[in-house]
Amino acid sequence: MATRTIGDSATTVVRRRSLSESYLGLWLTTTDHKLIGLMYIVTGFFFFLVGGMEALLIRTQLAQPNGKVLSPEEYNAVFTMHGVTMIFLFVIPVLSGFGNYVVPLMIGARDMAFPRMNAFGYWLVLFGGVFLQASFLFNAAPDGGWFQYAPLSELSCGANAVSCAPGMNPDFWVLGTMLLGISSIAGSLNFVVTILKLRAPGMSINRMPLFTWMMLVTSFLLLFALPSLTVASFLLLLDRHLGMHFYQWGFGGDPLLWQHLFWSFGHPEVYILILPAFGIISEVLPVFSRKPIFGYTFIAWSGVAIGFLSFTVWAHHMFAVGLPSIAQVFFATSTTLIAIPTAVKIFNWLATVFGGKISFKVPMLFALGFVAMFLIGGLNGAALAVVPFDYQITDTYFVVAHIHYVLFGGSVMGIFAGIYYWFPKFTGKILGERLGQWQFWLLMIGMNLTFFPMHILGLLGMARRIYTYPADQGWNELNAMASVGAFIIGIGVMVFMYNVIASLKNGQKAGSDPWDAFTLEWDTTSPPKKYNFLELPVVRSRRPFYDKKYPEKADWKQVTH
Amino acid sequence: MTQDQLETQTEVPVEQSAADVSALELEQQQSSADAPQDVSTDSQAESSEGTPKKRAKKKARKLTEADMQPPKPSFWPLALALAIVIMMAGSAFNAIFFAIGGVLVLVCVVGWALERRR
Repeated sequence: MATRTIGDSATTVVRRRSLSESYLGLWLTTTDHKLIGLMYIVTGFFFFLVGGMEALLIRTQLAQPNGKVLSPEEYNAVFTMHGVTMIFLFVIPVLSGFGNYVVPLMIGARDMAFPRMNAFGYWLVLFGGVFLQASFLFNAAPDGGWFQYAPLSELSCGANAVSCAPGMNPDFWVLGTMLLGISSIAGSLNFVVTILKLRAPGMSINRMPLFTWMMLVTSFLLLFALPSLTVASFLLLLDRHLGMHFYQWGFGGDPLLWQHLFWSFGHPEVYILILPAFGIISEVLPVFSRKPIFGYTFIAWSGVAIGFLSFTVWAHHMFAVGLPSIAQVFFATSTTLIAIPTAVKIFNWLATVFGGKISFKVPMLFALGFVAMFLIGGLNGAALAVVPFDYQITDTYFVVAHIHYVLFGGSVMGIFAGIYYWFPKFTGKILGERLGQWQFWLLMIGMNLTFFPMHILGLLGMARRIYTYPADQGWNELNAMASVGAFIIGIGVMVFMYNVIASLKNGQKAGSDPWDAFTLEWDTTSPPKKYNFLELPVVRSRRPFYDKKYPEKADWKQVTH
Repeated sequence: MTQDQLETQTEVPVEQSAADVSALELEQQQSSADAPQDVSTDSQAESSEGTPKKRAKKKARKLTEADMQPPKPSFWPLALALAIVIMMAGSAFNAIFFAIGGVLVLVCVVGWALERRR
């Protein structure tokens, strides 16, 4: 007879493995700001590849006159989705990813203020992105430009009900951007509360790292700019599905209302895309110049000034619609004014580098590349503020050149500076230096070859968004040059992807502080523990980690701030 | 909650399992070993300028075990995001999806609100 040991069954407790303990479950249910930050960055880069392929399709179509690679309808969808993808699904998510990962570490916090809301924001970005891209499967990709002008995006226009956009294409755009807008609001609120409430002891607002400053300003911009886009989109939905006529003159609506609502979001949006990159550059330049940032206060508050001014310039996108003279004067002036705080930043960055012990590591190369390229984008932007000049080149390739010098030369260069700078913190490995240099030069050559000729194309009268062009316009060589440049950028991106994979597999180990950096994110392991810091750091200056490493030359012994 | 209360709050939450506690201790030991052996700022803080009140505020504090608890994982953010996508897609394309999405949003919001975080 078998005997039964009493107590065996009573003492053995079989614990059911919860979903969050599996590998997949960990990622699906995480509320850790570091994992969410990584998810944002990886998702953003996935969409960067998607948007990049769309760009290559555009440039292949335009490489030669009378191109036949895409049909006119396909071309409309591809250039629209290129803009939407790059702006809403690449730049914003990746910069949010940096913010998510780095800001709590920089300010000495354990996590974001609202961890679940943080995760919620990420999932909306992912689903919103998939939703937008899925429109291709339904043959209904948005095709009215990234700005989706109403009344052209209405079902029908005018008293005679001319068919405008009867398909689902604008609906995908409206709903997709609404989803991404909810995500941005959730993320921004989280950043504001985290930065204002969870800073380490001693980290006053004037000691915050500049990247954190710029994330704070960006978050406020999003909170105040997004409602106008949401309202515009909601009104368009009502027009399209409930027969209302907010944007239709023939029924008492206003055809310019969309443009006003859209651009009062759209121009702050440009600064939303560039301010965090300013922050990254303000972190990288001092570390690789071995100097504290020059003019900290000016850089921080010029960011705030840019934020305020960005709400006063929207109608410079609309000079050609026939605004009253007084409005043209106002918006031309405010647009010119915004160049002042931007120039303040550039001069301070140059002063930071000047006389420094410069180390030309890859993050520094991208940071310097950023300053040079963004300067070009800023200068041709100032030219666009001049109303008579704007009349001449509005809706031409000059504007395409401008926006790409700002967003590629600025945001993308800034993003790569950030990736090379913080990759060791994210993964514990350093990205390959040699491949990084190759990538930098490929991107620099590629982008100038692609976008600089577009200035001339614009001045020669090549309208943006055209599907093809005849051979006798004098645009052939410049377009061919731009297309070759685009493929060089593509090669640069492939080099980057190879570098990431190779470095993750066999990369040099980073240690906790590979750059001898200044800020708190480097004062913990790489990658950091779940709770970030074993001991909450104490901040006594703007370079707390530098103070800790070099107590004899600590900043707080030299200056008072 | 005052600073003193935070410093003395070392009790493990009631529902925290023994396995969690030991895992936490292990991780704490590992991170102590990993932590860079740099000069502490405490001694500098004591000799610094500023009022005693400010110095006390700046003083470093050890994290309590409650602090070291990372935020708990949650399925609700993912579920709520999915529900919103279904509802919003339904608003333009199909009323049934809109209704299903609306119900799911309500369920997720309630589930989110009632979820225990500690």
